[in-house]
Amino acid sequence: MSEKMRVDLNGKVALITGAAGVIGKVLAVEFTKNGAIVCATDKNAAGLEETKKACLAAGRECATIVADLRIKEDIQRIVDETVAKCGGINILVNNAGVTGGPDGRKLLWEYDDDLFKEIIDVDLRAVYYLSKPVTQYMLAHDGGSIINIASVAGIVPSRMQCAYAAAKGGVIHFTKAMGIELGDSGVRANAIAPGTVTIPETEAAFYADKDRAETLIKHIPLHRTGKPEEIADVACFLASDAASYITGQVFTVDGGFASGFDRDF
Amino acid sequence: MSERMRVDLNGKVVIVTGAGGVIGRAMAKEFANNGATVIAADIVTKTLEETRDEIRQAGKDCIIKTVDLCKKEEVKQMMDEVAAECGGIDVLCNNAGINGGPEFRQNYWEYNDGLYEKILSLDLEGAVYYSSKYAIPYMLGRGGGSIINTASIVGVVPLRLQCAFAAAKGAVVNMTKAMAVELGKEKIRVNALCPGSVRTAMVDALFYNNPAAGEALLSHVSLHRTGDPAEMASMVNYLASDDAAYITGQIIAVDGGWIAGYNR
Repeated sequence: MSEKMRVDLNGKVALITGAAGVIGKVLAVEFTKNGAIVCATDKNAAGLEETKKACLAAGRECATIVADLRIKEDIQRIVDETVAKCGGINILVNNAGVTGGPDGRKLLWEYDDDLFKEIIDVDLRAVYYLSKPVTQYMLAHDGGSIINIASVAGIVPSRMQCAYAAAKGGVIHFTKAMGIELGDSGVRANAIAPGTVTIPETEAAFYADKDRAETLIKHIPLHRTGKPEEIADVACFLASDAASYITGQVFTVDGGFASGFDRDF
Repeated sequence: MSERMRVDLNGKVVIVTGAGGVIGRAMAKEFANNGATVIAADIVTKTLEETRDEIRQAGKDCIIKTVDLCKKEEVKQMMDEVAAECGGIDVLCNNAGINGGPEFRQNYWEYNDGLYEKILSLDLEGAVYYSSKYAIPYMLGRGGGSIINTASIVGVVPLRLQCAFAAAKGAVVNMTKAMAVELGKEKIRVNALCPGSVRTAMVDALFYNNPAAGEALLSHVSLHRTGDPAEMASMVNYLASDDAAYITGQIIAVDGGWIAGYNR
């Protein structure tokens, strides 16, 4: 079995939001393995402690900041504390996201307005509000790389997730605007659009409903869900100098789902 | 010179939001000319009255509704009233929207937060989500319908210094596709219109009052001119009609070829 890809992020401070979540925790671990100094933020304090343990096991304890991206004052506090605890900011991964879960799935005209607002606030607005001060810091110091975790739903939306489709479509588009505006300033911005990601702990539940799982899987050319590491690898690559000519782009990591119709005619 | 395209919208109840503005007014006039019962909605009553005057001068009429689309109670009330007065809704043109004027064109890291909120609240939440949410119940069970969201070419290929507009219109473009997949079963089609450069007072202030700036913009447009509001109206009237019955989930740029490729 081949060794994992490695990039050199030594000495780089990586601020990761939603770091207590499924993908967020793995992002923190993979960035740590590639040498970065990780600052993990989430509103879930207990989950952040798990992330801290996982990073320590991977080679270096991460800094943690408990904060709510919907609160303006918390946004500035995240930036200030990251600089204070870690010495700077070179990488920002805007990973925090709300989907609404299976219970939130409703047709647009029956959709829950509070959930609509929460999804737009965390998945779209927060990317703007946090990227602003971080970008200002990066421009005033050593440049950097911003990675926005969007979703394949921002490219090819499914039914009953209008808020998520709007927010992720907006983030992908905002990322392109960021790339254009940053120009040759020394800061790059890109987006990743993951497809469906599962972890061993949730795979059993996902495949327990065999019919539902098969309905989803049959549209994916690689015929499986993705692993968080497969998202984190792309994020580490985009953060590194190996991606120095890549900005304003969207990387779809979805097993081929969005590329076309996986069926014969 | 050829006559304008005619489509049959007789008996159809059509709502146009932002109908006090340049593009919305042209849309409302054309819908009236095509036989529709037109409800012109906007936040500014005076401009709505001007739209109605122009429609009356052409021998037709329209209903006007003053509404702040960012207030969901007002949106629901308007849709309830239209349904009570007209029996239901067949066509919804979610055309209302704003962008930042010349003094607000900033890089995203210096952008005005208040304006960011205004643009996101109106262009995405009010004009598309709330408007559609409260109209759709009155569009069901009528044998079909058509929703046209006015996005922008900026929602397909972003430009600099308008990050809020890019985010909001990019969200509208993707939400249009999401709406189409949800409403297909109800025979309600949902498409997006992406206008290119159309002359309005703000656009003139940004580009065309300065010939060099105007030419710099037009050099990217294959047809080398701005669009006419009537050309936007033609597209939405077509999309509203049964002649477009197999078109849904589409994002259509009426932009003189601007975003088709690099005109160099």
